[in-house]
Amino acid sequence: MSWYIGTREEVEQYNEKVNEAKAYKGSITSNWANPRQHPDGSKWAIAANNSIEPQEESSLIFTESLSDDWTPEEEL
Amino acid sequence: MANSNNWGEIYKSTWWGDKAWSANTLFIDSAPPGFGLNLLKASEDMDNTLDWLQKTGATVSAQNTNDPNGELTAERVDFIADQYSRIQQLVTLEASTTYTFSVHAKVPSSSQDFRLRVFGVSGATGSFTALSSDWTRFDFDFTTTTAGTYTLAIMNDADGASRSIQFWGAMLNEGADVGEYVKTDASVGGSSPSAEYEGFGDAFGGAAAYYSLRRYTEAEETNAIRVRRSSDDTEQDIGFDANGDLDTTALTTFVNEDVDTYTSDFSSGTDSFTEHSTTNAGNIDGVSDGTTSKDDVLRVTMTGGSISHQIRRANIFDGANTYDISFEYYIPSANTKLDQIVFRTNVGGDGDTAFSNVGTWSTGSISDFTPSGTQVRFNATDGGSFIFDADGDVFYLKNIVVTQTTADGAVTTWYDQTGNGNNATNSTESEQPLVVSGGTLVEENGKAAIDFDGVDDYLTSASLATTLSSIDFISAFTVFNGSSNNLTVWSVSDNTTTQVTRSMRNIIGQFDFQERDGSATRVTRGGSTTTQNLSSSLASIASGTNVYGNGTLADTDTTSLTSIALNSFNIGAYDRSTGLENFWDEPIQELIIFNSDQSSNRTGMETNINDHFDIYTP
Repeated sequence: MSWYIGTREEVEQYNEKVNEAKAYKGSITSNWANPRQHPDGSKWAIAANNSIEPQEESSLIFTESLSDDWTPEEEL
Repeated sequence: MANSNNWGEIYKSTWWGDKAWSANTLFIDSAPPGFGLNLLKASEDMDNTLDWLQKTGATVSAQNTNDPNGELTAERVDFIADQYSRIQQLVTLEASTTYTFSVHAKVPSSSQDFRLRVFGVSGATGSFTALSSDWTRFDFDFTTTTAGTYTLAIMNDADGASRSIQFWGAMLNEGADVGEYVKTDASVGGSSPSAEYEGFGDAFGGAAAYYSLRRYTEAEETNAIRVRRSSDDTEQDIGFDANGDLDTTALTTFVNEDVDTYTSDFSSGTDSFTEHSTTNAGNIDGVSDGTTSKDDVLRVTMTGGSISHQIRRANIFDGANTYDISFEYYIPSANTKLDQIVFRTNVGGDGDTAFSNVGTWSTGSISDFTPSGTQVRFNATDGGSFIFDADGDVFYLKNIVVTQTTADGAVTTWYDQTGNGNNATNSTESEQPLVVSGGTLVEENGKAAIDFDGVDDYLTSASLATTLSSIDFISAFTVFNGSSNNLTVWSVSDNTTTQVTRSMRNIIGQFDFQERDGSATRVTRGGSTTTQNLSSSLASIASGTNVYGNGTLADTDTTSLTSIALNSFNIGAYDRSTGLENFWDEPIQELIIFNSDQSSNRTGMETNINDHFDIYTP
């Protein structure tokens, strides 16, 4: 899964763009993805949709996968 | 002798068995054939298991009370706490025929609800209330469509509460009106007939939730999953085939239905095709090859001198599935150099396809194309050379159609087939697990499975969390794939804290069930997981937890715990105050959860599950 990384506003705008483009037809699905916050709070990530690119003015950074620091090992 | 008065003549008489005869009496009625016959066997012997099958925990006490005639022949049926608890009989019926199903019922005190049902006939259900005042005869009629064997059931009410009701004199007669009761004898000798389908829920009742890709019970035509196909995000419910397995034919037909995901429109512009050493113009009319003239065409003119010339459009392919592409193109013979166009994507490995008809409108097509790229690109070439200097040379495009022929099938809902309504859902596309991936059914050991991505996929049920909160006993049976450290298969937790949960996992290749009440921890872990596993967890706050792997005890722990309040149930993830995590990354095929002690049924349940999925050698 690939991702876009940026500010919370940017990832939310991207999610909204995907939602508008898709205009989901089913009765269950209504959202593309949920933004994920980095554990240190500095940035946000959202799953990338292969068919929809961010707005031209967006500074979202594309990455093929999230680095390990996004999912630190915590004891359960 | 001829009848000149046109009166009717009696030329045949039949004794229906429901009338008294005497030498001076002749009954004449209009009863149809079959009226007066009771098509059920053992009408007063519902304890006879050669005729009446006891399903989903129902039991029968013979000769429990006096019948309406004052004789000790009536039975009592004890239904367990499951709406499908029932006794049933198989009957062969005619096509397009109306029948009436009836039974006498009463209860010792107060009142109790029950149902009469005919499986396989839409709407053939009667709901009734048995009273304590006296025997009451209840009936309802139904009409068949096809001839065949039908199952008629006397079953628990839809509320699923445990109850006992006395029954006597069951009957099935032809016609829309209930016939005068006719006693029928019980079968003697032989063996019980096999049910038309035997699901887990026909053998064992009382589950709080049943998530599976096999049918729970013959008593209900439920769906297994709701699926969203990635090609156009349409959703559809998927049920079961005649064998009780997921209807994979309906599933793959739906998911892989051809969908036109892009159709060009050059009537008012370039339809987002970008210029790369070209000048693009849409809405060009009257483009003629001398024979055929077309309107609303995209014209692509070479610019920039000696360079590669290309047009692109983004967001056409999803980088995973298969497509057919077709388009019309025209390369004028008046061009100085441009004599071929090449279709490609933004990924070189997807390959090039050249089209080189010059001087005439032609159709280009590409079939079964599975690109890694997401863009459509058209390059112009000069005898196959991508870099050439021919400013002013042109090619034209029209009617580009991209048809997606395979898709992913994502599970939006895993239905709880018990009827308790604990459906597990996820409304966010990127977090939905797949049952079809790239057009291919996800399978585990030859049977359909739901694959979680280990990144963010999960399904959730708030109502099941409520059911499992602050209770003593959870019994759970899970069929999953996982031989390594794959974390949470399912969990129920308090997501306002970090350490309150009762969850089933696969840790360091071992079967694992963890319970944490906020202070104490009980980790029951052992055995060795293989490719496909059955994990059985029998967990009591008061008396301890046993975990079984493929039918063998893996670990026991009796660490003292207090009641655990829970608010979040998830398949494939663990939810706590820091958010969802520990996502599962392998297939799951079945998850059965009880809010009760099933220790005495464990081996039977494991056998039932293993018989279907063929997981291990007992």
